[in-house]
Amino acid sequence: MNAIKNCLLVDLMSVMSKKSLLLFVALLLFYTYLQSGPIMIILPFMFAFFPFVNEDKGVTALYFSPSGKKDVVRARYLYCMLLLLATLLISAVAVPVMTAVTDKDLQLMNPSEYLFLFAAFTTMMAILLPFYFKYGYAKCQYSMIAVVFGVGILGMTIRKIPWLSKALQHLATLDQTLVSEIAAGAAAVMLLVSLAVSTSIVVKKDI
Amino acid sequence: MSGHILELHQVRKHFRNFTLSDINFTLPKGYIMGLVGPNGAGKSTTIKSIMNTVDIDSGSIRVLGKDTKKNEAAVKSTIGYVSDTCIFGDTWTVKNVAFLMKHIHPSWNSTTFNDYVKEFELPWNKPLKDFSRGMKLKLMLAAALSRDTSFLLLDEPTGGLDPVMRDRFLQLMQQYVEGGEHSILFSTHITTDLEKIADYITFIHGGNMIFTGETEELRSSFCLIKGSDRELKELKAEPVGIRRSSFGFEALMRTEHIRSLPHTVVVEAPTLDDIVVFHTLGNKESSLL
Repeated sequence: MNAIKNCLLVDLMSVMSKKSLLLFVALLLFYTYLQSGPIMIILPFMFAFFPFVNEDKGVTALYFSPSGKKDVVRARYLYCMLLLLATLLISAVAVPVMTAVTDKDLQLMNPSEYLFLFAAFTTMMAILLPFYFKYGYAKCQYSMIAVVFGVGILGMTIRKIPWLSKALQHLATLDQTLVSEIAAGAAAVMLLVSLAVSTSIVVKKDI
Repeated sequence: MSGHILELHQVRKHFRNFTLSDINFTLPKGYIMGLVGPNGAGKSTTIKSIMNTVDIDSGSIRVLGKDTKKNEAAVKSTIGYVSDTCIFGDTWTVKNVAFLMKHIHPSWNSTTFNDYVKEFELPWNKPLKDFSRGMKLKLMLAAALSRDTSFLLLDEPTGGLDPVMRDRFLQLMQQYVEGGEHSILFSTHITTDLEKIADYITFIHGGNMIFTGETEELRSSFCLIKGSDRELKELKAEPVGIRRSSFGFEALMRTEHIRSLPHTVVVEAPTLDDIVVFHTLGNKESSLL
């Protein structure tokens, strides 16, 4: 646990400059003010890959600190999930505060929406992180766009397949709380599988 | 547990264009070992294998009797590492490094670190991107020496240092091993530094280990001979490496062949540099003509 804490500290130091923190909070408040809840999911994505940028620049302090390679991977996943948690928490605090100081009546997202955000972010992380561990930031910086396009193409394909399209429409009629819980659960399982894949990549990787 | 800080046994690592093969050596407590060899010999790969940042294909590495793969975190906590490239972030300051070290190393000594920062004249609040290579090396050295380690692993640490700092660096290394409980493995191209402080030498060339043992034993295993072209033709034994010039030739021979040499050749004791250079040249009769 101590080793994971060490790794997390190094990763957090990669975003702990005043400028990046100010940018994070300012953007979050801006999104909250626009009442564009789901869009704020962009924020943890923006910051999730900062440690990989630093590693590309030769910041390898983590690998020479008293931690194992497995700890580095676990801490990086934890760091990503903490970013999401921070985003959701700041947003939850910002909504009532901004409602009080502005003339806008801002609404908090409901629990299902939070769960859908969790599922979306976690799924993306589960897909992308093994690639970042394997190839580094420089080679993977466009992979997120590729995944977004991939999801778009998948959506269009589903619409053209009648039975799949019907199934999706049916999904929309179901209890959204249940659907969001299933989606979040599935995403969490994907993340665990992804963690195992990333660990095996990093253990064999030469730094 | 043996009296060795470091034990490498049959270490092998294959890359696409290079193989580090069958590296075997041990480093006793209280001594300094120099790791020498030309560029691309496998020195950094060996050091990174010890830190487990390179995943070896076979063999084993033990630090203080512990396998480095199985006890990665515990082993790393006993090693102070200094490399020729900075492992800290460009935007970090000395203050940030001190903060990080204090939190990740339980044995961190802030007073010692502050003293080194003062002695090395490092600015506390300047981002590391504005540091020279020598300043970054000083910072990594200060960080490595400010905690309780058993073993220092230094990868080309003196390259960016001025002669005054290099001298101070060698002094610090000698102080580190004084008590007899600490050891240092130190790779460098500047073999004159090693001649001053290294008790043991491991010489790697082309991924293969040529020699490991006491520094004096290595030097006495070889002799440097100088002579004319006629004397070169009279050599009965194959030289390890040879260099020809308009004056004749210079060659590195194994000492066991000294009796078979023509009486007229000049025989000298080689420096570590000579041993590395002539091994690299080989007996292709490199010419300075």
